[in-house]
Amino acid sequence: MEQKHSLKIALAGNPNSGKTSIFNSFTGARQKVANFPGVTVEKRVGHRKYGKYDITFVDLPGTYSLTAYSLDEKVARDFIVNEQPDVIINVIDGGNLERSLYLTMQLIEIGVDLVIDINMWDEVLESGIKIDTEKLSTLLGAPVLKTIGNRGQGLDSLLDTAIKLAENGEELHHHPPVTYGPRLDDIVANLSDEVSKCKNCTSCHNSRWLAIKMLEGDTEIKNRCFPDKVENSHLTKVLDESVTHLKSTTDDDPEIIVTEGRYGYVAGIIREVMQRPPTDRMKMSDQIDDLLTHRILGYPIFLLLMWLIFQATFVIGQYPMAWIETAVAYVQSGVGQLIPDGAMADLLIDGVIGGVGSVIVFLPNIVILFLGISILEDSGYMARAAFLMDKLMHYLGLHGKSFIPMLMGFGCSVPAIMATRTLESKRDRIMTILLIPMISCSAKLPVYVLFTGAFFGAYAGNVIFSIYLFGIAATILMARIFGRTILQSDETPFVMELPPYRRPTTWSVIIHMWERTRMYLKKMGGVILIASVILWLLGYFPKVDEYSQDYETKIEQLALSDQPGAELAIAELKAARAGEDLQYSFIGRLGNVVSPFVKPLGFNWQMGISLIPGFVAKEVVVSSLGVLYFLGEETDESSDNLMQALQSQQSGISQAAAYAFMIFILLYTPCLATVAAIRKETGVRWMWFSIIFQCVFAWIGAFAAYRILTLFGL
Amino acid sequence: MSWFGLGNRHGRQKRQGHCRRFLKGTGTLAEMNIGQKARVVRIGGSGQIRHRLIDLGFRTGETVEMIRTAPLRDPIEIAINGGRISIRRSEAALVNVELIPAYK
Repeated sequence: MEQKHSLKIALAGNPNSGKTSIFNSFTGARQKVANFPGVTVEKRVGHRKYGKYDITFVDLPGTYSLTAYSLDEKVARDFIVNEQPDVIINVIDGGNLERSLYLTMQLIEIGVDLVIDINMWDEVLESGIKIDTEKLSTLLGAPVLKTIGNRGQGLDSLLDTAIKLAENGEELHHHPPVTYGPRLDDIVANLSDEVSKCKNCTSCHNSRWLAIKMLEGDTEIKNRCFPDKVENSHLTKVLDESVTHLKSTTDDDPEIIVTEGRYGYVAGIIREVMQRPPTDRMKMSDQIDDLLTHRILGYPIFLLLMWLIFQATFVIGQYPMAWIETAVAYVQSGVGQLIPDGAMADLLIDGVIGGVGSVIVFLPNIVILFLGISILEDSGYMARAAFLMDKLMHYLGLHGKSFIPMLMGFGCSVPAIMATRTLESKRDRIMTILLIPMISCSAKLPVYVLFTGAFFGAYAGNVIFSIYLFGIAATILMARIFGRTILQSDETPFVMELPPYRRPTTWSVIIHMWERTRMYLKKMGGVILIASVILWLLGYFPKVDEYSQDYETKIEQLALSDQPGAELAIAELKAARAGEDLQYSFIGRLGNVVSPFVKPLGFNWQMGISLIPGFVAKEVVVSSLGVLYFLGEETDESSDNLMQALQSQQSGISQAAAYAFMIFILLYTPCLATVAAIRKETGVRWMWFSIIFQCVFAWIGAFAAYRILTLFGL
Repeated sequence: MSWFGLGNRHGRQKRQGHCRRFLKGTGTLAEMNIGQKARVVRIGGSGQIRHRLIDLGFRTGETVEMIRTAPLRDPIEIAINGGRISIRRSEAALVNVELIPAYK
């Protein structure tokens, strides 16, 4: 027999079964995270050379079932049916045998080569549950192994068994059919005969499975098998008869009858192979939960943990961020000395290196945040956080789990948007992603500080606070509106498992962090880099042909002369020239196009133009204003001269306009990196929707603020 | 509202566990008091929610126990099959149960 040298092994199992830690141990860092085609369900694929085999591992999404109800389940099922992996390793949580075997039954029904892996065997032993694995193996017609995935025990023999099964092909797999009791079995057999006669389905996988799915009323299978109703009229008739018969004799949906039949079969197996001790395996977890979800202490503890993660991400993260910024500046000046001045040097230094800098500057945030999130997830606390926050988030039409990403939005939208991956439903994910940019991120703060400092003096703190509140109110408002309009359908059930608390392992936490970091660099880094180079080009070109005054000569003259104050005068001239450059560039021209649109908001032309580079990042708004007010690039939010310039009569900015500007900054597209993150997580269409929505909403918000405040004479 | 009969009552509209005592007979999962045990009689609802409930182990004859509620009373935590499930009261109201007397 010719031996196959490449094998495809898929891992299937319930959520929280420890499937991913086994996958990680099998593949190490040789894995990549992509999406399944056309959907945003994560697909982890890893490779490993083992003996003479080149094995591809696929980690299927964790599911309880294989129906067409949820995207995850559909994806897992389609993968099994269409890609036909050589072997499926079914990872089972020994403490939850019943629920796990329910999925196993469905895998058996599809008809695949199965290796059963009872994972977390240490917990099984500790809890005193007795499982007769040999008997289980006989009953299921599949090898049953025991592993402790997070400590790497038993994995080699698991892999060996899987390979042996793949080598022997069909010979080893004799799963006894799942039986549903005589009455239902007859109906299934009858229908299955019809299915196998049907021409459309001979190429399909397994007639019995198809028959069962049809009985369950699975829309996808029905659509696949009955693309044209006329051709299958006989099958359709038999199916309809079976369904009517079942309904009339049992007084319930066939779907429920099938499900309960399957569970009944599982219960039979459980009775034979498992003995549950009188003690509860959740005892320890219950005691921890008495504290962590305590009526009074639950929230303070939760807030403390959130505060710790937030502080770690954004306060501790500041230090490595500062180092990265210093390093980038160092490289920029180094390159500046190597390459002669000119457009090429500017492109390389400000465009490319600056762009790379703007990508890697987020790395510390992402690494630390995902360190925190993976500890929360692996320990089991994430489910408790959702339990605590669900009531509040439900008011927004969201799942309790959405709270953590939204909270992270106060720090930075990019890691916050990436954190929405912890949400199961696509609708919740999109909703949360659309809301996150309205939460005021830390990069918007410099703009607030500048404008409140210039216009609101002693009330600066209160005014900034009111902007934050405005952001939260806008988030709540839009959550309600989105929930009633574009995202109203299929609110996912909240029902979820609260897994027992577990100690997170270093290895899985590191893998998780590494994955996110790599995804960020690979998938978003490129987009951010290209976009920032383009925006740089737009700000750099075209060059001014004729300045209002001959800066070059004047600067030279001043430099040669020994007058006191010459340096100051030179700086002023350079700043004025930079201002003219920016005004003349494409960005400046675009700004002039935008200006009429922002006039009704009370903005002057400098403010209008500064919004354009603000698409790159919000911090840039301040330095752009500095350039436009001829004060040079080194201005920041605490520069007195910039504040004075803004306050001056010529500027023509009222307090109302300043407030409206801050509202605009709060609500419109936060930055390029966020746009890239939105595109990565939701696709191009939602990205454009979010950009347009943000700009329109910002305009409306700012307009309302300006008009109302003007009425009050501000 | 109570005059609609047990089946129509939505658990989350009631302050469960304090003013209303669900002591014997049948009702929904959402109406149980902390510490009470019951047997599942019927799973209502439809589509995805119903399926999810069944996937997580809710089915006729299964024993459930009310463990605790979240600090804001919703969602609730249920013990089933040796595991713990968190479920909103509105979803729990879809599961009809029959109380198992505490002293047997």
